Amino acid sequence: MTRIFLGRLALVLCLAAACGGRDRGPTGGIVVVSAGADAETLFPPLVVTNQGRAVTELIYDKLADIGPGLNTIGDAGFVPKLASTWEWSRDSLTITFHMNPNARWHDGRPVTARDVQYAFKVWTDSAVGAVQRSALASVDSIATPDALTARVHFRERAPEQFFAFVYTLIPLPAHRLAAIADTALHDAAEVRAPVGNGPFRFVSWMPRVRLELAANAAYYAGRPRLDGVVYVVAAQGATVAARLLAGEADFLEQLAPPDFAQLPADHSVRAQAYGGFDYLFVQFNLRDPAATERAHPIFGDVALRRALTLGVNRTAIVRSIFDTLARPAIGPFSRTQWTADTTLRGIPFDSALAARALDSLGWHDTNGDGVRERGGRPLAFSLLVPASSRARQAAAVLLQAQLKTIGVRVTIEQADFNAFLDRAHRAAFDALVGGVRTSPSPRGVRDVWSTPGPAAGTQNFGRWSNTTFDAHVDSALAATSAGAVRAHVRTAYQAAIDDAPAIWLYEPRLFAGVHRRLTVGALRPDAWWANVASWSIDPAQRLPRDRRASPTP
Amino acid sequence: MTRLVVTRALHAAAVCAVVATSVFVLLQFAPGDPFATSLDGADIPPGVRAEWRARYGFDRPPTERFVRWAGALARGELGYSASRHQTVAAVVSDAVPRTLLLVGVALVIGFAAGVGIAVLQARHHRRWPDRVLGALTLGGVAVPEFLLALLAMTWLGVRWRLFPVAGIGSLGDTAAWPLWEQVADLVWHLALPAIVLAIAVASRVARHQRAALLGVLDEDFIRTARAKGLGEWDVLWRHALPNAIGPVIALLGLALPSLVGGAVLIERIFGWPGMGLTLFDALLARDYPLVLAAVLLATVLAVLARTLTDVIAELVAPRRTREP
Repeated sequence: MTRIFLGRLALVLCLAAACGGRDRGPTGGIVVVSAGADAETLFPPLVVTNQGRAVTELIYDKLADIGPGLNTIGDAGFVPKLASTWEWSRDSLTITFHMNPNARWHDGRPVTARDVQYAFKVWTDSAVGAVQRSALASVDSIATPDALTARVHFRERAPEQFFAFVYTLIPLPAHRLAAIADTALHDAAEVRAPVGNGPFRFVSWMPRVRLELAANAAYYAGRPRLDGVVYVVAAQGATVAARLLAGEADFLEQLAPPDFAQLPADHSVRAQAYGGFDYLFVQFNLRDPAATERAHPIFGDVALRRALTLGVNRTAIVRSIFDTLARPAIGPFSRTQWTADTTLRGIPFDSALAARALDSLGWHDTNGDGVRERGGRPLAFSLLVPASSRARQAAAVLLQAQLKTIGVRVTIEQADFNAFLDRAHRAAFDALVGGVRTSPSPRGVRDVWSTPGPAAGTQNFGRWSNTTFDAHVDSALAATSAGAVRAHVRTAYQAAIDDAPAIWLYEPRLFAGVHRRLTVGALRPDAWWANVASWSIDPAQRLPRDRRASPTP
Repeated sequence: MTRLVVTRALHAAAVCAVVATSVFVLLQFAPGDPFATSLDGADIPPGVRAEWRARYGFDRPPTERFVRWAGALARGELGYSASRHQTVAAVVSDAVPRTLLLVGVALVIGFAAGVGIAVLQARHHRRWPDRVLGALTLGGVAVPEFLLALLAMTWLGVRWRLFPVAGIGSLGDTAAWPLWEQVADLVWHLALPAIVLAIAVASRVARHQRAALLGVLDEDFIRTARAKGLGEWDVLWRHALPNAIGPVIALLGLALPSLVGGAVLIERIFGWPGMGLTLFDALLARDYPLVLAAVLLATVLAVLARTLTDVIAELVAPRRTREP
């Protein structure tokens, strides 16, 4: 009996420590986040950017959130939020969520299953134009047998159905929004001053200036340690960092390489590493931009693409631009993804081998101008770069210099980001320095690298097509065990590396800038803001702005 | 005077119409799409972008869009900003006062400082104060504003922490503060961007004003004033300056458009959310209605300023006001 009692006591204490960790330690203080962009909207269905998510996901909670392991298969590791529990039907076509009875909207009304049902209606209504609604395509309907039960019926089983649903759908306050026409929701006053259910409540928003949130004292998971969070916005990267260095801000999502040299000698600001989901590459256009039915006169040949890859010293490029703040990319994925595989066989740098490969393909410098030709055509191409990215421009210049040594002429073309995307979508380029911010799910690789079509490859600007890759990506997305997913993804990634539709350049390592007075714990790579409710400020280092900010009610 | 104002108003209307039409046409040739960057995620189906284009009328032919836009403008509507999820009127009504404040303060400080420097230089012509101030004003004209801005931010903001590096006000419920505290807070935040803009204005004004003053100091009426026994400062302030300031005021009218242009960069660097920053963001986002409204307002502002300086120059020129 005693052993059972002690065992239960230990379990209760463990649970209390895990769930109520927020209650320990100091409370109070305002965190000022220096941001390079403002939230585009505070209406979750229309949020696209990370900045928008960083705000709305503090105001609104999800039913459940992805765990620290970032697993996306089944529901392993997912953390209960608005739904305290859930259960699957035997055929996996229905998931029943049981809402936390303590969850309240910021106006005091309870969060109910009807809010989940209403959110689903809004998300899937084309009149609203929710950008992520395709992620909910497998959901057939949501039933509400009672106020605290939401029964989600799926059209088909999928390994990531739970992830896709809870990661996308954010319950909305039906009692406040249902009276507004769906077409008017995007700029309704209720949407610009949202009433959420998350750890922080909305206080004020001055677009392109600042956005203030205050702690929700009635939060069902315990009051956040901070009194509030304020996002201050500046468009210029140097200004965003200067705010942190001048002590006007406490947190910066991502330090740029030049910022490290300016970190104060008194160590009042520290760099905290967290994984990132970005990887960058030089993407080849495999179709002729002048006539897309034809193969590209240079990049249509896989042997030539591999020869070019051999001629690029990616380690030197990464060192020159980032020092140790980035790593050479391996393939079409980020090392932070759980499906990443660092043992894949890459194409090494070997300029002598590259030159021999080009010779064997019939590309020779016959006129002594330093550029190889074949059949009167020089081995030359243009490389499109977005003018907004200094790192990509630097990479393009270094690549140009390296390829010149093996007789390839590269002309760099800069375009502002909008024009860059326009040309990418129209496939009006030879090669471009592209980048992808992927997600925890391996699904993203299909959108960017699978054979272009209405269901996949929608961002495969280079029109690369490889049946092995497509088949294994599809199999991976249908596999129900993590091991099977990894096995298929590994084969697909290796096919992409071998076929060289791109030169895999680098993966930036993300470093947040954190003021010494702030304790943030581990930052989640896909959402640095995920644990803001447990951040704290050292009481001994409070500043006047901690007292002068809008008070918590 | 009435004739001048009427002529200028007609001129302004014609300029605005031509500018608005030209900008609309040029935007049609700009590569890009209003939703290219905002809806660029790999997991966002292309159909969503087409849907959004249709919702905001970007799928219609340019001529139809122009007619619609011009018709709405005639009714006083500036359209809807897709990138801000707000009406354009709401966006510009927030931004315009901020730019007017920044540019206005910079103009006043720059003009006063420039004239003061020029008088000092004229008083000490060809002596060391003249040479030192001449070198400084030459530097003020030559050094790009963005460099000045970054230097000011680094030294006055980050290192010495005398001024905030960005923003338009302190955190918290500043509306509840006493009025003087609110004004002081605004001035404190305005300091860096206004100083940087004012340095450029003061340098230009000083160089022009110095040359104009030196030209006037050789005139007979100045010799007469000195012969009457007036001190050199009285001669400069009461006799030379009123006769030499007209061209500099006209220069200010011409300088205002470039000052508004310079504010684009300064507002971006110092996070001052005025029309310059709004225009910059709108251009990157291809937010056509917002770009058109911003350009149109900048044109109106420039033309108004030109008219105003003409009127002021007419009023302050002593010889002209004495005419019957």
